[in-house]
Amino acid sequence: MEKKDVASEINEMVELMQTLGERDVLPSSKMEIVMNDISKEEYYTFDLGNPWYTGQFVSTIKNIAVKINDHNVDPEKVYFTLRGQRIQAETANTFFELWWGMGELAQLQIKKDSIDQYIQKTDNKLEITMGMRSAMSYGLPGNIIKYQFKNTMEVI
Amino acid sequence: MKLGVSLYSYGADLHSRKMTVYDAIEHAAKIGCDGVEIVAEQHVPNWGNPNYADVKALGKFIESLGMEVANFSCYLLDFLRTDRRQSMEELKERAIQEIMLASIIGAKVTRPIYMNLTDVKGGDLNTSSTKEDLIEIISHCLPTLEEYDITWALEIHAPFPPQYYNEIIKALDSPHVGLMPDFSCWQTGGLPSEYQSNEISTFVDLLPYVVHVHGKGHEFNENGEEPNTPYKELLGALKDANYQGYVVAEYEGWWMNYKDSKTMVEKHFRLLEKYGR
Repeated sequence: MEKKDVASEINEMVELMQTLGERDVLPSSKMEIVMNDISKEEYYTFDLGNPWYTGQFVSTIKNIAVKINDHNVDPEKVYFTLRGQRIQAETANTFFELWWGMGELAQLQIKKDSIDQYIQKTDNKLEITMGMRSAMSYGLPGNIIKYQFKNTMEVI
Repeated sequence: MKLGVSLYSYGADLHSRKMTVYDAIEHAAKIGCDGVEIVAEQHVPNWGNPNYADVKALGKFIESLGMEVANFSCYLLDFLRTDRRQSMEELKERAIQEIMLASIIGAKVTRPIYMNLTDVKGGDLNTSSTKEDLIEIISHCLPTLEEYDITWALEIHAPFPPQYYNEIIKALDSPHVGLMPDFSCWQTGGLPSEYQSNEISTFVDLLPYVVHVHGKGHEFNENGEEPNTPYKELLGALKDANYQGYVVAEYEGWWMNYKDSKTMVEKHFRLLEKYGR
């Protein structure tokens, strides 16, 4: 058998990782309104599974961009919560001691008053773009896999 | 030889939260495995800094079902921080911790993989881990490996050539350092993890140093054969060499599409039994 060229092999690996990662990540179409016990602020909250093929340190999350009904959500209003530990999603890449288990559900939380005007009761189009760094080099471009998660969400 | 399953094979159902690690271990016992391989980053809760009691409990559960921990796989992650790569001192410290955790769970073989595919793909060699790094790290760990009676297995996986780690084996010349061939190196069929199939003779050449084997599989036909992998020849070579270590089924078809893990693992394990018992 002929040896594959490097570019096509890398493309195959990227596609494979994306296929797996985008499969089980948004397990529910429900978006819940949750009040934070400490800040007393309300957040739209939904589950987000770890897309990587193993667990990963949270620091490997390069970025999380959320769009609801075609509106780009202000990144400062997006929070990532893992086992009750809540951080601003933008700062996730600094948490190199916080482990996100294989397939483990985290919660993404969006400050309610920042997107209220774009939300309806049902049929909310949710789109998430998430970059994740491999903590071991697979020779991927920039060592990053870019995932896209989509679902239609109902507010409960 | 002893036959088992890597719990990696249950990835589809672990990734989608349909099964727990404990469910997977129970299934492996039910189908007759001698042992199971743990992949720390997939199967140990709160990895990185796990609770030792959790690690011990996992090992005890495996033992309670009449099995062994065939291998404790883990990764030496060098890009876990965003601001910089791990230093050599941090990697050495981490490797020592992983050996100790292998001991706590009851394994005799561990695979702290440290590799950089740019080594074989070209690309940015400034970020490439080198064989010299590995020799330095493992040399540092040798007293710990000896103290805990653990063997460090260097995994040979496609696209690395089968002889890739031979110079490390020779340089370290220790009974606590061996090879872990993954059948991906001898697969054909253009599978995603496969670059270039190698002759079976390249597998035979490794046998004196083999301490654990990954029986890689992606699909099984109506006869129970893995059409991309020469199982009969590879397991036959191990039998001829009177290999006494583990071969574990490592089903990887779950990356491509979802199939019921228990069904696929049982097919895979029966294939190991067909040529390995």
